[in-house]
Parts: sequence; structure tokens; C-alpha cells
Amino acid sequence: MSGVIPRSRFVPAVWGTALISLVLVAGMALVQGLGSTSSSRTYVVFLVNVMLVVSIQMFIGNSGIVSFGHVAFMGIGAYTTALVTIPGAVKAAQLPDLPSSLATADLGLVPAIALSALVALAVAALFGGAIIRMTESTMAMATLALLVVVHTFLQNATTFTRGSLGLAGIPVRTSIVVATVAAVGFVLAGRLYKESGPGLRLRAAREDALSSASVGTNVVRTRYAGWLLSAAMMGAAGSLWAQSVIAFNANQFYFAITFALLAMLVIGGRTSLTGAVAGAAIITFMTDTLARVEQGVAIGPWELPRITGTVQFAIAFLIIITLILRPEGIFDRWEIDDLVRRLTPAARRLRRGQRAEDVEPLVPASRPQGAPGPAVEPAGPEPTTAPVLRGEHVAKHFEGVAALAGVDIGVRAGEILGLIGPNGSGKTTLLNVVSGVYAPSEGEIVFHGTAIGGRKPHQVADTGLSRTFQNIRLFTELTVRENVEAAAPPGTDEQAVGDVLAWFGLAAVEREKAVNLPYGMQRRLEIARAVVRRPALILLDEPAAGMNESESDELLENIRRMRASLDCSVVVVDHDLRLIMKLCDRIQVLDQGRTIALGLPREIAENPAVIAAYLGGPSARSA
Amino acid sequence: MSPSEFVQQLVNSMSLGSIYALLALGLSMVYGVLGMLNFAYGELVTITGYSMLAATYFGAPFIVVALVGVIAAGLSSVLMELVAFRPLRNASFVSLLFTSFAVAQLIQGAFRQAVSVRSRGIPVPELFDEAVRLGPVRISLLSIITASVGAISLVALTTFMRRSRSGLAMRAASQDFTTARLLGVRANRVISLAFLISGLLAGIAGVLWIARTTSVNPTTGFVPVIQAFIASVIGGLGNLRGAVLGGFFLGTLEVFLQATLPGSLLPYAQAASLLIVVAILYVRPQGLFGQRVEAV
Repeated sequence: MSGVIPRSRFVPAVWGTALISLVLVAGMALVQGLGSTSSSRTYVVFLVNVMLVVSIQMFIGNSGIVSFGHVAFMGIGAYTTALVTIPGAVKAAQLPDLPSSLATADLGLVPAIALSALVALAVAALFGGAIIRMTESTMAMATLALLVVVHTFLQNATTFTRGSLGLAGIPVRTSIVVATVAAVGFVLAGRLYKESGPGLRLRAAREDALSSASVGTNVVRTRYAGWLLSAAMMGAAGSLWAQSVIAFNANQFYFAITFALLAMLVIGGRTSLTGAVAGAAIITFMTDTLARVEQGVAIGPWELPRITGTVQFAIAFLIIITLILRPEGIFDRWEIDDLVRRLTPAARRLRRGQRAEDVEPLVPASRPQGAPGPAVEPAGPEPTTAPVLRGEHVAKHFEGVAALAGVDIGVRAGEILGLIGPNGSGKTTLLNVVSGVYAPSEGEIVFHGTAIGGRKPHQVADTGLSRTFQNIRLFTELTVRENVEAAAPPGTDEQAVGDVLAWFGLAAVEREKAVNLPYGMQRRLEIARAVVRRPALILLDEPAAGMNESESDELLENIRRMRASLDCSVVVVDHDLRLIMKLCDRIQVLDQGRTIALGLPREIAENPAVIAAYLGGPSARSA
Repeated sequence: MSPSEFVQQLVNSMSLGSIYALLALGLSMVYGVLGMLNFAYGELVTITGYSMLAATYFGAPFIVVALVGVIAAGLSSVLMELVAFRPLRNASFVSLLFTSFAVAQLIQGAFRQAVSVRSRGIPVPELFDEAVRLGPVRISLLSIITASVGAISLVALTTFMRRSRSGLAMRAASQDFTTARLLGVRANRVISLAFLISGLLAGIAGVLWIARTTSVNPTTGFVPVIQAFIASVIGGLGNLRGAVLGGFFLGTLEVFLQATLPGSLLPYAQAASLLIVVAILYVRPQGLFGQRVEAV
């Protein structure tokens, strides 16, 4: 397993799961020691809730897309299990018109769970295929439709479900031990998925879908995989639920339980599995206590009257208060192992002594062994090499406005090409068209002999082209290391990631959230994220924006090293002419969507058309 | 379906469609300004219903009862924003969505406690049951009234948005709230106004809805809010014109499914129309009337 998940994420995941398991098992032992039936029943309810919430968390927590439809998968799992586990005679009495294959079916605990997961998976595959490409808010709405549609079927397909009359007689196999083992299994699966490559890329897409695509992630497919996995788990959890309740009906798989489950997720912190477990505990025990209060209790001499509906109130209040005080839930993004690690002496020392800025080296001075870095001083490009990137007559129109009016671009192997021009001249549009953000309206783009014009960003990225963005687009809530790992192509080992971090002076802050880095480091991290893909061509969109002279000198050094060590070509868009003149082998100047000059830095500096375009003086033609 | 039947169903579509259009518009209005989906929107319809119920106890004539319902929804909407959403102004989309979900449950729970789980009848004028005969075509008066009220409200709102200063401020805010604020648009006022208009629309739609169902219960708002969500999604979220068109589209779809499905499949009518909508979104993820968003 650790072969798939790097040790830096695998070890904490195992520790975290072990700590949660310890708590769950201790709880089980305690409840069994008490020997009361009602507390043991409550504990099973809690454990089943843990399974349900963890399943939902796998999708909502990692993708950041809200689903109101997961209870549909729970219902599908529960009904599947009921149909294949209720003893034959009991089943025949309730559902006389059942087809014979189902009427005689009699599965054990594990086959019933597996079948339930499969049926839920099939429905998720069908429905998810239709909605997964939508934007986040539209998809949330569409999952509501899923809940309504499945509920309608469960209620009306009475041959199989008996609708609101419900089914009874499901053998109770979810004992407290089974439930504990299963809950531990769900937590482990949820955590391993979160830390796995697909899970990490899903979280990266949650932070920024576009930059996630630009580092080669097929966002739609990653989301779809998370959706399917989460739905199958929900089906399995529904099966275990059904085997703990004896009887249920179609109306139970609707808004009341959706609300309760989402409340557990939100209150605990939707991105954290520890939060999911904590949320399940809070809501389960609150519901249980309130249910007892509603029966009417006596506190000393006072007899409280019977009241109903307090649970809904209490949950709603709890959600609102939690969200006001802690908008991301009680645990926010913390997992239990993070909390434990924070208490260790080393972490305390680090927090007290050093801040991110203090450990930032001005120049990435020492290059670790085997890391990419310059062997010799960078040499200029060989002028005869064929271009790696060739674009001909590339044009892009936005509703009639031509941002690019037919531009040719040729990037030679190993060269640094500067792309300059006044604001609105089409530089960024050209980068966006080349990297697949926009499809070109006209023209052809060939990279390494492959036509890439009109391909999606992740497809372009996979051909060996990386880019950065004008306004930094990091995976803000992920750590520095995770930012780089989410971009690393499959098969990249941990050492390579570490080397890139060290090279860009980010090793000391690798556990920090990207959003907490100072601006200069964020810029460097974005370049590191592009470099770890070992691209043949890197597009840098205004890397020096907001930098002072010494920072931009450091950047220049970094770009040269990068070119030399990766043996790649670089296209740099920037307004810092001092940087461009010093750094670039050739410079192409755009104005109003056209190329007005192309040549060596010295030639460009003296070109009257360029001077006119920049200073707004007499037009190029009259000059 | 005979031609006269077709015309009848067409009028019914316009009537149901205009209710959905008003609801989707109210929802989209808040989404446009705040980028927030208000799950508690359906509860405004419920509030309209219970306010109407209260007003009928005082023996008010129906027109007054209806006005009370609309005003109650408008005020509740503004209040809802002040109390529940304003403290979370900078929270994420998901946090706001969950908050509104909780608010919806809170209001439902309140009516369940304070009134009853059961439906309460609301008397409507007998006039609504009458029908107009145009040759072979028989059209219920309620449908005509509903469609007209819907049309008048839409025209009034369009005029307000196009002609008034506040309307301009709201349109600017829904394009780019940050810039609008920099140019002197007052954020809290625009947001309150958006919630007021959104609430009034829910109130008008609520009165029309209650006039059809003639009763109210704590979950009355559920079906309307789902339909409003779906309609605004078909129209492209946040797109006001799309919301109106989406509402009419959904109304038409539902009326014609009700009219053509065989009796045994009638319980599936809503599910079927939702599935058709999902199928449409499969082909056009940005909605029928939304702009295609490039990239990713």
C-alpha cells in the first residue's frame, strides 16, 4: 500500500486510523462492560452513523461538491440487503409478487454487503455519468433530483419495496462487534483514499479545478471515481444499517436522515475523517438523549412534560452555531494524528522558534545530490534546432473581439522565449490557447509533433507542457508538499519531490498550508509544481509580478537553472523588461493580437515599432 | 390529445410555469448577488401559507389575505438574511448552503410545534373554480389569473431592474460585487434588497401555489423549492432570464407529463420530469439557456 501512497502521507494515515480505532474499540468494550441493551443499541447506531458519514465524506469532503443524494444510495443498499436476507416465508408474506430468483435469495452478511455496494455503484455510475461534468452548485442541485427520483421509486415500486408500509424481518447481523470492525474498516478506507493519489488530486481539484487540470489531472474523471467509490461505500453502509434495524420503510430514506448525516459532517468538519467520527458521536448521542427527554423525564421533583420535535431543532441550532463560530467545522482540516503531532516536543519547538519567513533562503544555494540543477553555466540554444512548439495563425475571438488575430509562435529546443507587449496585447490569451484553457478559433498548434490545438488542459499537460498562472493559483488549503505531489506524474518517487522542494527553498516549509506562505514563496511553489512534472516546455505567466529587483534577479537565476537541469524550453510573459532583456534568448512582441516584432533582445530594444507600441507614440507604420 | 385539450393544457402550463418562473427568479436573484443557494427559500412559501391562514381567522377578504401572505414572505426573507446569513458573510459556498439548510429545518420544526403536522385548509374564493368557455376550449379561471399575475409580476420586476437606480445597482452587483462596492454600491443594502425582492417573489408564487392546493402544512414549501432549484439550473444558475424560461419549461414539461402518462405511471410524473431535466443537462451541463463555460 505504501508503494501507492508516499510514506509521508501513509504513516500518518495509519496512525490516525489506529487512534480512531482505539477510541471505537474502547467504546465498545465500555458498552459491553456496562451490559445494558439500550446503550449497546445506541452504540451500534453511532457506529453505523460513522460508516454513513465517512462514506459521504469521501465525496463531499474531498471534492468540495455538496451531494444531497447520498441517502439514495443508502436506501438502495438497505433494500437490496432486505430483499436477499429476509427469510423466504417472511418475504413471501410481505412481497408475494417477487420474481422467484429474489424470492428464494438468502445471502449471508458479507455477500449481502457486497451486493448492496454493487447495486449502489451501478446506480451511481448511471446517474453520475449525467451530472459529474456540471459546475459545483449545479451538481448540488442535481443530486437533490437524484434523492427525489430514487425516493419516488422506492415508494411506488411496491412489488419490491412495499413502499411506505416497509419491510420487516431482516436478520440482525450487525452486532456491536461487527459494527465496530466495519466502522474501523470504513475509517481506514476513507483515510487511505484521502491520502492516495486519486484522493489527493480530488482535493487539489477542490481547491482549484483549472490549475489542477493544468498539472495533468482529468478533473471530471477524478471526481467520477470519488463519486463511485463513495456511493459504493454508502450502499455497503446502508446494508449494515438495514441489518441493524429489523424493519424500515421507504420514507426513511429522505430528508430527515439526509439532514442528520450532513449535520454530522458539517459540525465535525467536512474535510476531516476525525471530524466525521466526532460529528457522528455528537449528533447520535444528542439525538439519543433528546429522544429520552421527549419521553418525559423527572429531574428531581420536577416532571418535564412530553415534548416532540426537539431533535430537529437542536440539530439545526447546532449547525448554525457551529458554522458561525467555526465555518469549516469543529475539526476544520485537522486529523487526529495532526493534533497528536502538534503536542510533540519537536513540533512545539518549531512553532515557538521559527516562522516560515525565517527559514526562507534568498537563493536556493545548495542543490542536493541528484536533484535537477545546472551542471555548467547555461549555454544559449543551438540556432539550428527544429521548434518544439509551433503555432501557426493562432487566433482567438471572444464574441467578435479578436484577442488574438493570427499569431505565429515557434519555440526552439532549449531556448527561453520572452513574450512581451502592452496590456491586452494577447500574451496571456496565447498562453491559455497553447495550454488548452481556450480552444483556438483558428490556427494550428503543434507540440513535439502532436497537434494540441483544442485539446483539454489536462491532455496538453500530459504531452509535457507545464504552466504557471498570472494570478497565482495554488491548492491553497493543501500543504506545500501536497501541492507538488498533486502535480507529480505517476511513478515520481518521494525523493524527487523532496529534491524539487529543496531546490526551490521550500523544504523547510513543506508541511505548511500553501495559503500561509509569503508571496515570494507562493510564486516559487507554483514554479516548483510545474517543474516536478519534468516538462519539455514551461510557460511562465508574469512570474516576476510584484517582485523587487533582488527577487527578480533570484527568479532569473532560478529560471536559467531550471532550463539547464530539465533541458527544457521556457516561454516567459512579463512586464519586467529588465528581466526579459537579461533572461531571454529571443523576444516576441505582441500588440493588439498580432506579432509586431521578433528577434534578439538587442534588436527588440531598438525596434521602432516596439517603442511606438510601448510608448503610444506614432504608429508603427508611420515611424 | 385533441386540439382543444392541447390549448387547455397549454394554459395550464403557462399557469404552473409562471409560478415556477417567479420562484426560480427569486432564487437566482440571491444567487446572482451573493453566490449563495438559499435552501430555506421554500420555507418562505410555507410562511406565506401560514400568514394567509392567520389572516383568514380575522375574516379578511381574500385580496387582503393574499397581500398579508406576500408581505410576510418579503419581510421573513430580509429577516432570514439578517439573522442567519449575515454573520456568515465571508463563509464558503458550502457553509452558506448548509446554514440555509439548517434554517429550513428550523422553520419547518417551528410550524410543526406551533401549529400542527397536519394540513390546514385555506379558503379561496369560489370564483377560482369557475371556468371560461372559448368555443370548445374550457379554461379554469384560476389558471388565467395565475398566468396573468405571473406575467404582471415579471414585467414589473423587469421594469424595476432596468429603470430604477436600485435595479441598476443590483445588476451591477450580480456582475461583479467587489467592483460594484468600490464604485459606491452599498453592499448590505443591495443584499437586503435582493432578499426582499426574492421574498416578495416567493410570496406571490406562494399565494398562487396556495390558491391551487387550498391548504398549508409545515412541508408545503418543499415541492416548490425543488422545482425552483431545478428550473434555475435548467436556465443556468444566476441567469435571471434563464430562470424565467427554465420555470416555464419545467411547468410545461410537468403539465404535459401529467396529461399523457398512463394512470399507473402517474406517481412517477415528477421523477420523470426530473430525469428528463438531468438528461438535458447531460447534453448541456451549463443549462438550456446558460453560456458555455470553457476550460476544465
